[in-house]
Amino acid sequence: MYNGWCKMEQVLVQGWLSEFKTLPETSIPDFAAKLHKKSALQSAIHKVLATSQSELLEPLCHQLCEFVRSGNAMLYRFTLQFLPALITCLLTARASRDPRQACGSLEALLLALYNLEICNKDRSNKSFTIPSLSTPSVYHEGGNMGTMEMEPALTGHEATSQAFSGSLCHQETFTAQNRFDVLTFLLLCYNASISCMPTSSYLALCSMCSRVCVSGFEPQAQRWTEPRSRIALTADFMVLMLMGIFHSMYVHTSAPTSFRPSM
Amino acid sequence: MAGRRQGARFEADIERCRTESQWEKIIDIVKQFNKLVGGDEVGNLYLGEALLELHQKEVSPRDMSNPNRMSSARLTQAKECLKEVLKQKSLKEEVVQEAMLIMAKLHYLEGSAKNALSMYTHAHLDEINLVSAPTYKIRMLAEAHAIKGLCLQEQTLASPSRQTIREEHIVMCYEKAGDIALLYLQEMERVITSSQNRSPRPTMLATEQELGCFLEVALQNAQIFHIRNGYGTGRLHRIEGRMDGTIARQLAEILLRGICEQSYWKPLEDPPQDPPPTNSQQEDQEKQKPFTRARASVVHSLYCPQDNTEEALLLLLISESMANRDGVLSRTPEHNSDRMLSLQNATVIYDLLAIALGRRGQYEMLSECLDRAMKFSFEEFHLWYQLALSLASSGKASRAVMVLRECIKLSSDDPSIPLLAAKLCIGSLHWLEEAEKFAQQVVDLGDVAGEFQAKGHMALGLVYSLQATDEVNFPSHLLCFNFSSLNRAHTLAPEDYKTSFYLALQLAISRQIPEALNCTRQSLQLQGDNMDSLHLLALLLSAQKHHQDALNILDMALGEYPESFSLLFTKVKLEALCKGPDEALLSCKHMLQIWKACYSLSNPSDSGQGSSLLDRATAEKRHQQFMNLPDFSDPETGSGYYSFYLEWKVNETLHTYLFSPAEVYIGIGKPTEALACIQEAAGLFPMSHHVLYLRGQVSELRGNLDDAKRWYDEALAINPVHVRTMQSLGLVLQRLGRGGLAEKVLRDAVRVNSTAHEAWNNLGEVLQVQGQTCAAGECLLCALELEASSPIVPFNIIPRTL
Repeated sequence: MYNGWCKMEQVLVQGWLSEFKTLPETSIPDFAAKLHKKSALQSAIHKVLATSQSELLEPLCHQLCEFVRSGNAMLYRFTLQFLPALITCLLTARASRDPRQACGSLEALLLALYNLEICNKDRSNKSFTIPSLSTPSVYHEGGNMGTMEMEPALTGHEATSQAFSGSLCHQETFTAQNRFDVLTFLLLCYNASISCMPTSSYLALCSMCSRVCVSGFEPQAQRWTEPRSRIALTADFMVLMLMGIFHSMYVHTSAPTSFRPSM
Repeated sequence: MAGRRQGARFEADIERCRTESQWEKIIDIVKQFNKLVGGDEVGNLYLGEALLELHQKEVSPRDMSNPNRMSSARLTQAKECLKEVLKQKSLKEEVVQEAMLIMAKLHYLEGSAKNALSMYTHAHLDEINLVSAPTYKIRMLAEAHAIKGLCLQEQTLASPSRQTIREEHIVMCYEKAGDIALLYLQEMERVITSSQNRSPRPTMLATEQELGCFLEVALQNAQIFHIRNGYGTGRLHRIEGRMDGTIARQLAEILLRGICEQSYWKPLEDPPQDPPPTNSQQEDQEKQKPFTRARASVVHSLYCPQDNTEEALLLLLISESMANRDGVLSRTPEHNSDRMLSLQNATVIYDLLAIALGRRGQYEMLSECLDRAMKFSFEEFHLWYQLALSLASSGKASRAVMVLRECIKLSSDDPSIPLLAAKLCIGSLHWLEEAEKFAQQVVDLGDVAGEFQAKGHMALGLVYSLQATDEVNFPSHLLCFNFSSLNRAHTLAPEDYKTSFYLALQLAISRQIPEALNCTRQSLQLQGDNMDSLHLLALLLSAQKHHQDALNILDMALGEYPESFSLLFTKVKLEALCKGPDEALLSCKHMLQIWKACYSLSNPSDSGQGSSLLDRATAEKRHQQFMNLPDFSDPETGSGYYSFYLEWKVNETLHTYLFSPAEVYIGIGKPTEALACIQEAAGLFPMSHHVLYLRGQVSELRGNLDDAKRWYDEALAINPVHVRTMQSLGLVLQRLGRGGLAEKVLRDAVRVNSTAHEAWNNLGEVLQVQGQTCAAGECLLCALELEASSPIVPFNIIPRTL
């Protein structure tokens, strides 16, 4: 039965992979425009990515890699929605004690995404400002905010501009040292366009977070049969994970919680 | 005749009172009038309205969300009155309409949105004409639209497909409410100015700008819908004059959780896909905004947020300052509920601030904000803990530990808090005694600690291990504790690579090499690419004199961590030993190049090793981060020992890495090149014992023993426990013919570090010359044994942090 639905997804993804290969150059924009509507395909791809050691992983990554390189914004966005699933793949493959789990094409895809994004001037040269109440803004007049006792604290800092992230360099290979630099930056990019993602992507994000957190701890015994070790995460990566979860927690309450008069 | 005149006066009085919202007065007037003239249906309407308004004023806003607690005598009375009015068929249409609107509000207050909505349908709310309506009626209508919106929002819909239609409907209601409210405010202003002209008594100041809570909420909700659905933010200006803490906070909440950078647009720009408003509409709006300042012209000089986090941050800072200003702090019982409310409000704001600032890594600012929250947070665990975490994240470790101590008091059975404190104490503060206490607290919790129990034992073991390294006369029974703690941690959490790693490290330090190798392998099985484990493995192999294997492991580790200086340093040492100095110097150069590339130094001078050294000064700040060492600028670091320790630690790491070329030159007997390196380094560290030691080495190499002794003495004056200086000084003294002093120095050296095989060896040689052959033999044997298990670089080079 498990194999049954698995086959179905596989057939769907396989068909889609070969469809793209036979596509003439001119009809690619058309193909790209229709992609985001194919929710069955999206969840099928997620299933394939969630199945460990699927033989489709390699060609799938290869194709997504081509999407990234094509420079088509729609294709790029389509690829980005699988980022949580791809990160899960990479981290769990690293954590599994089975050295056979090679993920060359997966790493290549993630690096391609990363190297494309760091070239994106908008993002890499971005700085941000920490607002200060002593500077008047579109929302308030400077100076009339806060009580006397707070003044020293407020006048203490002006609106300051700071670099968003340190200069990031082009990466050729994945190493233990740069792995989380790359993944953190990719997750940052994902979070920056998180509200455009479909539901299946949020699900994958949440499952990625829970998997990464329980791997190697007691509860995993019920979930995975093969032994897995703990995954050491960096603090920045965890902050971004939480940001993503925070967003996906609220994204489907389309209206603000109806609040009667309060305060 | 008299009745009619009275009637006219009555009407006028009532209208004025309704405009001024003087409800008690209305009740009096109606009662008086009823006494004079007898019952009147319209009088019932006024009475009903007045009773309802009074009721609404009376109940605190919080109860309003709970309809069951809302019933009161007034409400029932008001209902009776209104029912009476609605029964009458003969009344004017306008009066019936008003009665219906008031009834609808009553229904809503009772919690029946459905009845309220049907009332509005009956009253044909949407068709009521505003032209030349009295002021009170304008307000009534604005409120009616607002309540209608609220009712619609409360309704649950069966099919989600109608959700968008409904939302549009709600927003329409709110917008109408907002528009009419503006009209009302405008009218009110006119009335106020005219009445002030007539009489100097400012009768209406109290009601000025008072919109009533329904309108406030409607405006807030409308705002949030706009933000969510991408309607025009031009609407923001409508209420900017009335920006209050709640709406600022709610807007921030929406910005943080519903909007991402891609879907964000700036407050003064039109949102994407929104049809641009026509000019006449805008002008209309401008005219209608007596209370909002026309800011379009000055907008350029104002700060305007560039992304959603910035906007959220600004809004949160505004609402924070308001929450701080309006917060209720009094602890008297009668203020209890208000205090709880302002605490709740503050907690929400500070949590949102944590989210917004956390996104940008601005933990220092977060800790400043939370500092201001401290006035709310007497015995409030959450705010204390947030402060502690923000302090820890911004590198103010000593204050963080103090705050954590308070947190432990408030929540004594949470193992993670003392564990965090222990981590800070071990890691950046090096307060080992404190760390021991905290770790002991975790261990004392026993099974309550759950997963953290193993970590507690590990922390305890680490503290003992660090104490053993620091202190010359470390009591040996503590060393036993050390092993038992680490072993306990290992049995409790066999799947944690860190426990086996630290056990291995401790075994290695006490020179139980084969056992240590086993443990390291275990740890590597759990975490194959952990740098410290790989490094330890290489060192252990070098201790067993399998230098080539060690080099292979190092190369592999360097593949994963190409920029790790400690790995490169070990590699340089190993290469100098088994491949000769040329290879080692190549590695040195590589190391310094990486150093340069790593810190993207500004000075583009030649790639010689010297210039790289000079650039170090600019990179020092970043280097500290790389080494996981705390910030020197921490103003609270009171104890002199602490700063001394830090300086010593930073210098130690820097020396080991940056003096390696000089050491290699000394090793191959090239004093001139070595001196060049040292002189360059001396410019950076004039007070470094390591520079002085190396100068001594060069002098020794040149055969200038007196100079060498002088340098060594100076080095020891700065760092009296530098074993390498001591062992060199011992030999120099011996060669200068001062055997007694040499013996003393070398005995000191082996006391400081009993595993320094070179010091034992030198001591043996000195004793031999002095004729103490027996003792010399023992020393040399000892040196031999130690050498057999001595790694290429001391095991201590591997950092021990929790």
